[in-house]
Amino acid sequence: MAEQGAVRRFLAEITPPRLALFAALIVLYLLALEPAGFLVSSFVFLFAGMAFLHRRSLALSLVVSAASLALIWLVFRHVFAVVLPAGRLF
Amino acid sequence: MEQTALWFLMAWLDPSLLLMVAAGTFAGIYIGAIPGLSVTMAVSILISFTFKWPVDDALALIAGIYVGGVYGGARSAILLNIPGAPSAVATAFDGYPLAQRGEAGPAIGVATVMSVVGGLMGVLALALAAPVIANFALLVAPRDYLLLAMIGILLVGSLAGQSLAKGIFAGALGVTIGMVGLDPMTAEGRFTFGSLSLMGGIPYVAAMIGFFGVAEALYQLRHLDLAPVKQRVGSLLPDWRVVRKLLPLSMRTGAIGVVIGALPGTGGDIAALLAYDHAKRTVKNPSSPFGEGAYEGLVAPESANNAAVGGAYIPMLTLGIPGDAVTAVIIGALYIHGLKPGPLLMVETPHLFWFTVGSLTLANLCLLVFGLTGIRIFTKLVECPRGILIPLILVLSAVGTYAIQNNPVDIYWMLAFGLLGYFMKVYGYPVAPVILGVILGPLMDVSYRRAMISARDNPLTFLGEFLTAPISLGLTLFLIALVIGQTPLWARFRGR
Repeated sequence: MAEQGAVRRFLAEITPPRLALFAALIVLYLLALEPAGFLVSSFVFLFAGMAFLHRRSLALSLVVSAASLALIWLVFRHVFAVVLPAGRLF
Repeated sequence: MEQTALWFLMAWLDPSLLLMVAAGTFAGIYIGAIPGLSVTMAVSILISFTFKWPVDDALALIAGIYVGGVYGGARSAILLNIPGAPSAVATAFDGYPLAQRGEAGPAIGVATVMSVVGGLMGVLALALAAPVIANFALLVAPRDYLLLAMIGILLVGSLAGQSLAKGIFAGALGVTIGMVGLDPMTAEGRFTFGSLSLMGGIPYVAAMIGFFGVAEALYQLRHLDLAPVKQRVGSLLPDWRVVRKLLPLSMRTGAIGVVIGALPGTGGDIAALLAYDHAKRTVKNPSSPFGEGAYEGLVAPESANNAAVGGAYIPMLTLGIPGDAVTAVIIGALYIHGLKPGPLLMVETPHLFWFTVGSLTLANLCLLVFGLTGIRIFTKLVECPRGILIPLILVLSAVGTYAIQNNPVDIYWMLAFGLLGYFMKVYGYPVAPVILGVILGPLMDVSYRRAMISARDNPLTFLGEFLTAPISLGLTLFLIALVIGQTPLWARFRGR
């Protein structure tokens, strides 16, 4: 039993559960980036990420993620002229 | 002479370049100040967005961000006791006690003025020293580049991290990453495991964004719950008597900053710590005891870290060897714009040098203006919770990596390096030497091969030249001293 406790402590030390979950979210986001397109996948990721990490109000997460994504899209599409993944599904 | 002046004033006279520098400095202050965003992170992400721009615009923006960002960390160090950037760690020692005493406003004012003093000293050193070094750069033999690159990786590894061994490991990892792909001399595949997608090498932008962006963001998840302390700040104008009294100290620590910045690999963070130490040892009667709100302890690191910016550009522009992590990333940017950083850079594109000097000077003047204003919005923005910031950093990292060659595979590289970087950070391995290794690996490779060819493939001649050529001998001795200085042998010798 003591050994099991040590294993759990080791795992919590290197990857706290919050971090493992968030890393999984990142992997999902990056995998979805091409098929779903930049706007859809980033919006879902930002909203889920903020709601998960900053647990205050869902409305705030929604507003902040939509507003910042709009800003990012405008700046990178028009100021930096970057081609963003458009997505195959939509 | 007239031509030089024109190049110098390019960023001042062209409205769009002027805007780039000003916007860069302004953005840099916030990037540096917001805990969780760093200048290295911002510049790594930005180079992939700006690669379609004219190179001058990109360099002007980066110069502004660099200057603003090194200073910006001081504000959050003073206000929140959280250094916004690694170069502001020493600033918090005395800056936060000053804020607790209710002197946050004047403290930020003094820090701003002294940052500009240090920054201008750095630019002056760059303008004076770089042409001299460039003349003499053609005398620097390939084996000297090999030595300089090794010194750079060792210096950053030993001073930035906890142990020399971990630093060497991180540097070697970077060199290995940089080696993947086709051999530059024989076009033979190395470390490609027969895979076609490894033939072109590992994209270094993906490595930079992975190590500095993703890894850093993941690492910060561990300390999500640190609540910042709120501060009320009035006027930012410094007490000019304090400024005048501390000017000599500022100049001294500025000089330390220039030298540390100019050494390959070491930048503002190390310069600031050494300058703080210098102030502590030399100032006999500080305004308050050190660590309890001494203006001396605030001025020393702030002058030094901004002076290190100009210093770091010196080896980058003259030899193509980065002075610190940010200039390593800028070298990556120059490659993307089709320029070859190295001794010929100043010969082939002479305008680039004076243009850089001009935009750095301008950025320091912008810093003076922005640094003494705009504190209200600032305190609001800096309190932006990390839970909101971290997802945004990841989106920006992904877009930045994708933008460089529209290749989704690069994003997976970024993720892999991000995860690797996270575990390295958890176990106390510094990540900056990895990036230095990635940038310097190919340079070391080519330099070694050239040195071997000029020694007619005779290892004895090759090794002998390390002792007979004066520059090589000096560098070899420095390298040996650097390694021995890290071992218990040196401690025992000193203890005796």
